[in-house]
Amino acid sequence: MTSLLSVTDLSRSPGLEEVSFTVERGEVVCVVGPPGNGGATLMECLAGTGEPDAGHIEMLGVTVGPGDRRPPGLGAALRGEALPARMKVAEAMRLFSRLYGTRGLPGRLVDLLDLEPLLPKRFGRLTDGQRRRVMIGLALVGNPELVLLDDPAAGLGEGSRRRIEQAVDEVRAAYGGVCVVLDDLAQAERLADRVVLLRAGRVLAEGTPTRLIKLLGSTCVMGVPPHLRVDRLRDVRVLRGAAATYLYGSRPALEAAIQDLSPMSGDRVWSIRTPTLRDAYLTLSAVPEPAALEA
Amino acid sequence: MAATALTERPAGDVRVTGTVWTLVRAQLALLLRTPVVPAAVFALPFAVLLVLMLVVGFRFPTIEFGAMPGVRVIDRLVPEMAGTVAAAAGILVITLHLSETRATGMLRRLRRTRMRDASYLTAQAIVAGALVAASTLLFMVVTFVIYGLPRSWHPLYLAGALLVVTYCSVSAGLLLGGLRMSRIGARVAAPLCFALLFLGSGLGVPREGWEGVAPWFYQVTTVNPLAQLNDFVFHAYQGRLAETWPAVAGLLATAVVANVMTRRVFDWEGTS
Repeated sequence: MTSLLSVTDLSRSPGLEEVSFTVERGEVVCVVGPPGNGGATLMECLAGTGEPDAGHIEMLGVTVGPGDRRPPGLGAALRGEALPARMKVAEAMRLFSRLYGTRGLPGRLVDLLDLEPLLPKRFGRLTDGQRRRVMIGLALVGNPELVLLDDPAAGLGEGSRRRIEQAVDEVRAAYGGVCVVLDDLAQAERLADRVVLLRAGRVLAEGTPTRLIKLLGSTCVMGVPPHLRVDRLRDVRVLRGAAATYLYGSRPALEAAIQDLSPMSGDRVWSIRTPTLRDAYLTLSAVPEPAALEA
Repeated sequence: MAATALTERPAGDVRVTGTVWTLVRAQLALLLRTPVVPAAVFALPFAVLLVLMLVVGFRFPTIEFGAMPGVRVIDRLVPEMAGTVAAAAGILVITLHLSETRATGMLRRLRRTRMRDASYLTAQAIVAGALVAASTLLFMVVTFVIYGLPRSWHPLYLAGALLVVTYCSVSAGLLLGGLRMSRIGARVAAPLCFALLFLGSGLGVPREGWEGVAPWFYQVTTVNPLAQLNDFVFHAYQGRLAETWPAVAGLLATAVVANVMTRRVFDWEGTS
């Protein structure tokens, strides 16, 4: 079966080096990495606003280059895109649904994105979260098979964020493919069927969030202040970060570590938690050869 | 498995005429809410008329032109204003609208639909034509109500000549607005182009009037494209072919060349 989106050895200097991944039907793929790790450059290449130095992009079976028209089955909500400030939301919805040849957004998506009260308003009078929801609504109005979303919930409140995530779920349920470029690893863990981790413009690792977290080989994690001496702890793996030192291991091993650290930390209570995608990212970034973890 | 049940009807083919009509309606609604558009297209001719009425020599617009028996000053002014409005709609309105639409990413988004590029550009021309027609009609009705009907006039010829002027100015506007230019750049370039054309065409005053007052300025009007087009419109209004028709033919040919260039250089993406 042909992938909805296939990115092969995509490079663009500076910022992106030989990035490859695919998006299949009924799948949400999050390309994720902290800001400055190539996500924005990747999205520019996908949207056609940036010219890659090498590699190629195939969308819905069509190879696309910079400036080429994207296939009509593509819906996209990209950062920096907006509507003219004086255009009403209902007018924009009507315009785009007619241009796509659809009857507009179905009621459940309008409800999900809470667009009904925004329809009579001018775009310029909306808040940032409302604008983002409108732009996602417009991305979906054309009944797309493939949806590109550029950090759709960045900086938004919990309510807007949840609504956007539900809309993404809806696309997946409708057997569409979604490619989301994000810098929020927690959101990627919630949203993604598959995650492509980017670091310094390269693919650090790819897989389901569960698989990537399992690469840690630990059932629990605990963060302690970076100044504590942790080199004598047993049965825990130590990862030093700028803001904290992370200890990975089984729950008993971490509980023993708490005991060992108590003379230095006083009465402070440490919390042991299950590892997240963020922990996986930190660990994979720290090891020189991430593939070694899988071995 | 069939792809997607997101919307109530799967995306299908969109007729070109339907697309153009959809774009025209959306853009007209948007433009009429943009203050610069009513100002340039509707308020400008009345403002010029008001100013001219206050200037000595134009207090009595019903007096006849010395060189043209039977033609009142106001009869010269109506086509002059219609031509000027066509230039404003094409160069000012379209350039600013395109740069605004591109800066918001709307052009890029439109291009991801099934819309053809030509449909969008055609819609721009139709919108400009509609604005010119509405403005001219309004201006004519008001002046005819105040000063009465002219002794002789040819509305069909006027419409044809206005079509030529609108085509030329829209072509210039599409080329200018299609260039890769920032919003601020367009906000400077479009009014500057229009101001140069308008000032050099005789400031809305029938250019013959400058021959005795400021001969150097009259010389400027003889090479100003808008002045040639305005002459063409005026003579068409009177049912005649202007002596400047070769210049108008040249401008038409230039407009066709501009269309070809627009096709090559039009920036949909707004990339830097």
